[in-house]
Amino acid sequence: MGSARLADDVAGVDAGVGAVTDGPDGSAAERRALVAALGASLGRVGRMRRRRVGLVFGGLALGLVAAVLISAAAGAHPIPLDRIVALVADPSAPGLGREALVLGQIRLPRIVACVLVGACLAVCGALMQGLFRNPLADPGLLGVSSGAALAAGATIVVGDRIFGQIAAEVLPVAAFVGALSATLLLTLAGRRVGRTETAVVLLAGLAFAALANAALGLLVFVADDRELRDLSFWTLGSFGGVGWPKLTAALPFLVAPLVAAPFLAKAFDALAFGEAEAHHMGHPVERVKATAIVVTALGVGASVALVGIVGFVGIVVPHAVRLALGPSHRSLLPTSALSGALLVVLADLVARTAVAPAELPIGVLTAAVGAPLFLHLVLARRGGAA
Amino acid sequence: MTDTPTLRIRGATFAIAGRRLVDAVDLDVHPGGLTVLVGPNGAGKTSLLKLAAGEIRPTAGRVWWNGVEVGALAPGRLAAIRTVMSQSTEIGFSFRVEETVDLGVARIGRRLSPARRGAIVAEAMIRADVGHLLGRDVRSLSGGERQRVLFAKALAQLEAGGLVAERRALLLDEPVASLDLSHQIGLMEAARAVSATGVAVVAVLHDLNLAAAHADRIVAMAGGRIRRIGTPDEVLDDDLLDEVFALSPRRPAISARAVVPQTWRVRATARPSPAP
Repeated sequence: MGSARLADDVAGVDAGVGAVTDGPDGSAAERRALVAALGASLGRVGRMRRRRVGLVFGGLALGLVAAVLISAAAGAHPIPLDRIVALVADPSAPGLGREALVLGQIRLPRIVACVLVGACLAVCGALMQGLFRNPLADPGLLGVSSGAALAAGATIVVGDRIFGQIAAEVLPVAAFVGALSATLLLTLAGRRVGRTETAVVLLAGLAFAALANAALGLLVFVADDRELRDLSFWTLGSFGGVGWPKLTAALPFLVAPLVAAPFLAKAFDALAFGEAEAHHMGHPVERVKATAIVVTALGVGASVALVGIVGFVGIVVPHAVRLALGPSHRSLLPTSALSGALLVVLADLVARTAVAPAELPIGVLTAAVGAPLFLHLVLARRGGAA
Repeated sequence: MTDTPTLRIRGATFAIAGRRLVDAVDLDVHPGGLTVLVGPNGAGKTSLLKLAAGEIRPTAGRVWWNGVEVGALAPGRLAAIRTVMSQSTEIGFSFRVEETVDLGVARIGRRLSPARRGAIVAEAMIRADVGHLLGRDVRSLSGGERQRVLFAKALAQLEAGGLVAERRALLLDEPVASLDLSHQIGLMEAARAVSATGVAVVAVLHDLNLAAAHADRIVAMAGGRIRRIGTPDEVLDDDLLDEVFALSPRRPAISARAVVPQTWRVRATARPSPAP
């Protein structure tokens, strides 16, 4: 009954805004024609948009499958694609023992980690940007990753001195606590000024990141050789040490933001208009914010715990997706997840093959792509927005 | 049931750091009709609207929507009952005009078919005169155009709310602040059309002429309190200017009623006729 009733009401009231449109006459019949025409245009625009999203999403999915296959094949011990297919079909196939070991125990966990960490970081980046209503927000930039790395680093160095060798399981927990503390600090910084003031949050995040990095530097200064190797792993990132046990432990936390994203998407669109507006539109703002903060901290903490800091994925990927598909989180979040996975799989492929047998730290590669794009984003923003 | 006002406010007080922005306000808003809040800057109009919207909690006093206390209503339910158009909205990302209007329906109209949603969005866009802005980035629009887009979003939300809530309200905080003259009148006419369907409309306005031309009831506030309440004819007089706006009625050229000639208002309500 809704819009039909509305149209009738309008007819009964004689003139509304139509009286001041460019048309010569604001009659009800003319208005109905306008509404019908606009409705048709809206339908057309919507269909085009959905097709575009579908195409980009499909293309990225194909690209990811291809990248995963290439990554599985390439490396110090190349495995032809047909044998990968054979191995996937039957892992205990005869005559493939060595390759089964390389693929199943070394390459596969690494690739799965790349996919999950990439998707997780990209979605976390998009969520933080939505939360702080700023396209520059990013777990790396705002010190969430640094907080995680600092907590892990402090556990390595300080824990070493006090308890001797510490258990490997403690580090992910420490990284998560670090990420959560940093995220909470950021939201507190925003709340101090009343409403979430994005400029304040960004500045507070930058300051916190600088502080955390300084503290990490101090840890590097006092660390011994073995601790130093561990520390540089955290700060530059590497998928080198990922095996199934570590990956399985991090898995639920990496997946948490991906699972939560579909439930948050609509509310995040509304949040772009401010928290009060989102509340006006009927979204449970506090619950949405709390969920986003927790899953972001879980995801970033787990990814730092697993592979160290992989910078710029969280900022570059959502930005590129927004340029291609617009800011709606219903397309942004899933597409960012796919793109992030693709980017990190490719970056890791380059990291371990470019200077083989040595390995580049993956953080160096993502920063090399990310920093120029980030610069472009900042400059374009200055020029574009008022 | 019919006696229950759509919105009931009793003894509502809102204080920040000991300063009472809203001070023990009682107000009933019944279905239909356009209530206009007027008053000088800092009179508490926006705060009162935010209290009604459930955006801020009263320091003392209570607010009910259709007999249910505002705090007891889930956000989704509350959004179906009352739609809010805020005074200023900063938009974080480059949403398109039609996406922005659709956001008004995204939550409370989530069970609607895409076609019905599209129809509601189209109707709201035409009513707010933003149909020609289809496909534009909201952040690239002028202030007035953006305000009309947000009005369209509010109309869409209100319409979608009608599917679940029988008695609804539209709260407008300075909805015409950056609109040109014809769109000011157009928006007020649209708000009147909405109120004629039984929706309670409450608007904060600074323009007393606009208030006089469109309000069924005027609530004049100053210092966080309601000073005068009644029809435009009862409220808008020289005493009001003196008491509420601290303007001496002897000052020439300022009268509550006749800054804009009567003839200028006519075009919006009647068919355009050859000007004399």
